Amino acid sequence: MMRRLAATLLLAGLPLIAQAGHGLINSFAGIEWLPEPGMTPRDFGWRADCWMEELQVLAASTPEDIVALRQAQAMERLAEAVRLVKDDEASAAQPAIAAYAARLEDIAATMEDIASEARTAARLAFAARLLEAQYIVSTEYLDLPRTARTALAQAVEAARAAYLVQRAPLSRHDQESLFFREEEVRWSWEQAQAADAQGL
Amino acid sequence: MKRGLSRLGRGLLLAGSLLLAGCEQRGAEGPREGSPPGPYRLTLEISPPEPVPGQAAELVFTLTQADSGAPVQDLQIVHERALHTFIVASDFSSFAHLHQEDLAPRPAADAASGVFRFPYVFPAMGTYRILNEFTHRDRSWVKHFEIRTQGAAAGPPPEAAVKLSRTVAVDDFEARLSTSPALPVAGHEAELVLELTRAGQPVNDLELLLGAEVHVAVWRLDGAHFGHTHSYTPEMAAMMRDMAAHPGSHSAAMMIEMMSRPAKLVYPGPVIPIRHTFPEAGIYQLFMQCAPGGEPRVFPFQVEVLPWKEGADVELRSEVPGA
Repeated sequence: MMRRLAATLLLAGLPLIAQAGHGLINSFAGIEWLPEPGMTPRDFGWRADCWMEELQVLAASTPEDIVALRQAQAMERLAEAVRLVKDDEASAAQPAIAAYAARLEDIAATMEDIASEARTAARLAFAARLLEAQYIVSTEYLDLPRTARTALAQAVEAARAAYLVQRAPLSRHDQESLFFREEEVRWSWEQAQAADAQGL
Repeated sequence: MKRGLSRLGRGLLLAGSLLLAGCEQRGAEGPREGSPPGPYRLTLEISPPEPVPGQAAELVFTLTQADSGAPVQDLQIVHERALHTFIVASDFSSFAHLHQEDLAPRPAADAASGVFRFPYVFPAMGTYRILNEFTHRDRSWVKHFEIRTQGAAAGPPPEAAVKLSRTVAVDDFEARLSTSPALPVAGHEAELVLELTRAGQPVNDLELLLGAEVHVAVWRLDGAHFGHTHSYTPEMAAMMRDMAAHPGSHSAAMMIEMMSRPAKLVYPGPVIPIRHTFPEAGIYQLFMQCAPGGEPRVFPFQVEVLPWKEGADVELRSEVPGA
């Protein structure tokens, strides 16, 4: 747990290398991928690990800190779900997917506690992370076991719904800044669905 | 309690930074691992491991699937190359855009094992950023390395000096950069217009360089926000118009196809329009590569990008026909 906290803080302290890429097809070329999943719901200590995370959140001092912790936790839950689906254990992935969705809801609620002058930037950053999550899952999807991977549609739907909630209050300028990423995500998820339809 | 946790956080951050510094030391002895991690793993072996300034070092990149370790053998050819590598000094005093195929066709053994290799002479002692771009299954990827030459000081490299410049002379060429809006705004597309003269006369003999009139590599001075963009053609403008009018019509595959097919020269000079969206405010370093008379040249510029705020001038007056 402490190692994870250290890793999260370490990542937060590193300079962001947010690379664009080759021309117009690069919105997600250099994004931070899923973390190593560590324990998953099939492990005995997973729930205790989740409770420890709740304690961390209780100890957090600002809404911004809570959002940062919850975002890191959400990506961990997503990584766990993808790992289990990779191992063809769709039902074991369900608690991780549910926990992922719950963390997104918690972030959305906490967002309203952020001071208004900082809220737009926080909202925009969260929206971008939600697009990345959808892109990551839809990219991984193509190489996952065909029967188990459909479980991840719930995670994508949770991210999509949370994204729309965050996007709605943004200014036109901020919404437009997300356009290419939205299009990439749309295309990427269509590819995943097409793979299902074609039995690939 | 809250203050205590904050101190703990700072302590962990410091410990983590020291740990990271240690990792970098160990990394210098074996293959370096490109970041960020993801479904692909790109490693780099340099011979010698700490290159000597002024002497050729061999760079060997190996691209594998992160999960299976299988070599990636079927990269898409985008702008005439499979793996695009940019090497830039951290103070932006040198720049290179390299590919294995620049020297000779890629041997079948390298292609089978996901290997790309070429020599490079690090021109001076210091820290260098190496960026690699590749496209696989219609998705574009970037992997980043940081390399120190022999004798370079440990620790984060100093930030490059600010030298805002809109005109630059290289040999007998003069390159002028104008932008619309006059000062680009973060998050808003800007048009960058490169205008070239040679010995005072407009350049009209540009040739294609790797499938484009110009390649532009972009970094913010702190090394963040790498971008790679090209001349903005009427065909591209038409596609963007269509995309904006019909959300959902976009296909990444269509765009990659456009960049993969044999290119046609649209801008012989002296003016080349380029589009780029700078993601955040700051000073950005640009390297513009083009080939007047077929001879590649690099024109460096620095541009200031303003933060977005209500009422900012973001109007783009385009030089591109039909845009």
